[in-house]
Amino acid sequence: MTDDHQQWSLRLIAYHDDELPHAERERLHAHLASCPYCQRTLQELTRLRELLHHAHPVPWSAIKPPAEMWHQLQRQLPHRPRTAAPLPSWLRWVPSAGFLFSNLITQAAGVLLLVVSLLTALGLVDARKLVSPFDEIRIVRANQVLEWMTLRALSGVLGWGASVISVPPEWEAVAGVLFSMALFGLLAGVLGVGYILSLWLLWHRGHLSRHDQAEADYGPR
Amino acid sequence: MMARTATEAELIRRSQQGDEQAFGELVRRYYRLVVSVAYRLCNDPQLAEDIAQETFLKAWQALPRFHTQRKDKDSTSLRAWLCRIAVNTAIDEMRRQRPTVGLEEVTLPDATQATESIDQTLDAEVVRSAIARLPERSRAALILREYEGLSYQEIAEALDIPIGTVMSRLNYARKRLREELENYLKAHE
Repeated sequence: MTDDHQQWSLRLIAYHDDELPHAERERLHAHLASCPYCQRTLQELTRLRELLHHAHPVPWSAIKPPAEMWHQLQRQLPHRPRTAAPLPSWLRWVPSAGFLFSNLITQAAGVLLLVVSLLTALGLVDARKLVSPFDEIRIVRANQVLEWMTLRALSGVLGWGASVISVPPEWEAVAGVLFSMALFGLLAGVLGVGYILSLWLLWHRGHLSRHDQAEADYGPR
Repeated sequence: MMARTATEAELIRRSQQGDEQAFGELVRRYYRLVVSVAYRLCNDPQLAEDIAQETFLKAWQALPRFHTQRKDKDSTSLRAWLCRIAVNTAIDEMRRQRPTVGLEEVTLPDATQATESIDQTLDAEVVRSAIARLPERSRAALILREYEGLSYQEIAEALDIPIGTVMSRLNYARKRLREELENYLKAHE
């Protein structure tokens, strides 16, 4: 084989396999028109393909049909617990972000309640004014609705606490601190239980379980 | 029978989650491909069945790590992936059985089959012997291309080699076959 034919050899193979880019196809056609050697090679490749297909059939009659094979295979499949679909990548940070978020909220609420109760206990803030100072608020923007509702809820809780707890004046400071700490504990508990519940749900659905599939060797040889 | 509307991606996803029925549908869809590859590599229908079964067992175990959507170099089609497992399993099996299964012991199809004439049986013997003498990796590339119609890209994925190597292995295999079957090809012109 000459260098020229060697140069065309791989292109001829790709052409024969219908893998030659269209642009190179035109060049090969032009070459084939003037090269008896490559024409013969292409004919041989075509004849070889016909012979391979004609002479090497799979003896399907000697092989189990798919349904029978599957029936046999199914009994050998190692059990794999059904799991949920993998979480999208953007959702995978949810557990850690949720933990951080619930911690921040709990601690911020705790700090707020402690500060308020301490200020009240020290007589720097009048608790009665703190409980209901928002009646005069004017709602002019949508975000103020949320703000107003939050503050009403907070003042309602504090007011309820003040009405329930009836202590001698000398114990008011201690009672205020204990009351705010109880509220803080309640909030932390609710958030913590919610967080643990969400983690359990994720684990139960398989998102947090470790895949422990047997390693099979499909690598390069 | 699972609805024909179930797409391959859906069946893969459900199989990855442990759905045996979805995996069964994939097995039914790819059974002929895997058996065909295995048979043409080992020339033994019973061994081809065993290789197919082993291939699907390995596939079931490895499916959770199979990715079709990723755009990195590990992304591959299920067809090429199954061919890769089948080829590797067949080569392992043939290496294990080499001392007992020689080329001269290649199993021929039942000569009494009504659809196969004596000429075809002789053709089959000559062609199978010539293919069996090829180096196993060139033989695998040839079988995946000629009999299963895989693209160069899919063969590259199945054999874990660059496309250039696919082309050179196909070139080598065909050149060897043309030389070995030269008289035979001329006689059939």
